[in-house]
Amino acid sequence: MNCLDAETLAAWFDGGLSGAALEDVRSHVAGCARCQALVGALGRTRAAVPAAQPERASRWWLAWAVPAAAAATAVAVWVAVPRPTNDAVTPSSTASLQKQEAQPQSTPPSAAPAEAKPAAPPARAAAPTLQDRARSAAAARPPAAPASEIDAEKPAAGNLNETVTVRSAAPAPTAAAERRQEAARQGAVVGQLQARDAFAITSCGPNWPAPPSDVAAQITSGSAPSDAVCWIIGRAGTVLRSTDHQTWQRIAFPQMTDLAAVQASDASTATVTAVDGSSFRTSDGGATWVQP
Amino acid sequence: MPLERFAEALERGAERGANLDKLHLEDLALACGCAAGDEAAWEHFIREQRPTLYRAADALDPGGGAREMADGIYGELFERSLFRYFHGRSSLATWLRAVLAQRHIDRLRAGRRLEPLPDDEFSASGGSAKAGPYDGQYAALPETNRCSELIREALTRAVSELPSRDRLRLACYYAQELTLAETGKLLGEHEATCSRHLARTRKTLRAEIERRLRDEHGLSAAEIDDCFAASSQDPGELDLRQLLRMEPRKESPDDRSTVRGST
Repeated sequence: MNCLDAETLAAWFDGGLSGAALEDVRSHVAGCARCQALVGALGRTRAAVPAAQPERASRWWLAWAVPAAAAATAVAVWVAVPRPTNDAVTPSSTASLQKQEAQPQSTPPSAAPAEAKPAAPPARAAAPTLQDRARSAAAARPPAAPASEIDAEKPAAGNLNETVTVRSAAPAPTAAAERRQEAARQGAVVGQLQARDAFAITSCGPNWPAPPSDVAAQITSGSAPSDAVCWIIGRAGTVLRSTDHQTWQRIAFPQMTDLAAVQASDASTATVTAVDGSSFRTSDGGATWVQP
Repeated sequence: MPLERFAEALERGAERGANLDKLHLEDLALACGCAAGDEAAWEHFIREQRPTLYRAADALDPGGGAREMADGIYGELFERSLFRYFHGRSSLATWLRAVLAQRHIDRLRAGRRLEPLPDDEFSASGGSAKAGPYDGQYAALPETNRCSELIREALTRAVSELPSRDRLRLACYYAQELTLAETGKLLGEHEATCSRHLARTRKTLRAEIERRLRDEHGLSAAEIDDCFAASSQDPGELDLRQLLRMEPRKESPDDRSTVRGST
């Protein structure tokens, strides 16, 4: 077998080979100095793979978190908003519930709901329905949450009326609000991570501040000739430079062209290449640009 | 994007043994679009892939030397001549990295051809230098050097007798410094399995070296231990990368995973 061509090598790395072709490649590389060196070199370029890909893999749950939180919110809202048939608590059911208040102290708090069911037939129409909905909501929540939440919703002193009220109104909106906040928080986190990753990928590395928000999405490349200087460029003639790791200085560029690459030598000297291939060079920190 | 180009690329990929269900069709479509001069495809390529190329160049040569090659590749891509070598058998990003790696290694090798090889003599032996008695050809050397020589010779022969799969695993992990996950992926095994195989191979090599030192050079167990200790302090010219690049022995189909002395 001849030495590996670039696509075969890449396909091997990407898991795109199988069968005899795969065995041939393995067998060849095991005894070929050049191909072993190729494998090593390709491995060393792993830093070129956008950090977002492995990050995405390790944060796979974030992709599920938002829809899961939305689903949990929907269930919580469904629980929180009583249906018309259950909203109207009849006097008889209220009376029955009040009857339960008369004998709460004799039973342990945790046993109150279970014991209340057989003793208050009129309340069954309302209370079991709400409890079932609460249970279904609890079942829909993440596994770690239900036990403590249900425990928290247990009647504090055997007051079933209060229990029904609490279950039908207070906890569910709270849970819904928490879900909404969590979803918003995670959405924001995802957004921040993506922006940070994108910036780190396209520019000088992770140790620089994010560019101004109005140009952050425009950035296409960057160059850090030293630890103290970073130039970044982007679409529509966007050029910025930072020399203090804190702020970005906007550099005027002679054309509103999309810029693709920058190679900086220091804080004063940089060469910028536009997508059409034209190059611009400055040696005075961007005050003037010349086309070589 | 002209469908004819895409179909043509697919056909060429199939001719080259590509697994149709493993083709990276999106990347192939992008490459075809770029090759056809589609402006939107080219803009997308620049936005998504060009940074990859430059980051790969910087990773290969932090001094900036590989940037010229990256520019050269970019130029060829811009002229559309290079895209015809991409058939979607890998992702576009990995292919670009592989093209760059290939040119980088070829340039390094071309440069080295002009330099004298310090280990020509060792390579020429093919790792099959005939072993002499302990008090023979190495007896005149200082103790540490003698131990290093004995161990290097035994290791050379032990490595040359490893099955190709074990050699490849050693080469990827130790010589080329891939991660366990990367090495395992190339060998089609989980990284934990890969780690166990590496540990087993190390044991096998150690046992084989000990056996050779004992049987062929007459060293006692204490002398062997001393030799290992001395060699670990001063391994001399021991270069696993060099050892693993030598031609392996021919193996029979039934010894693909073990060598003599292994379990």
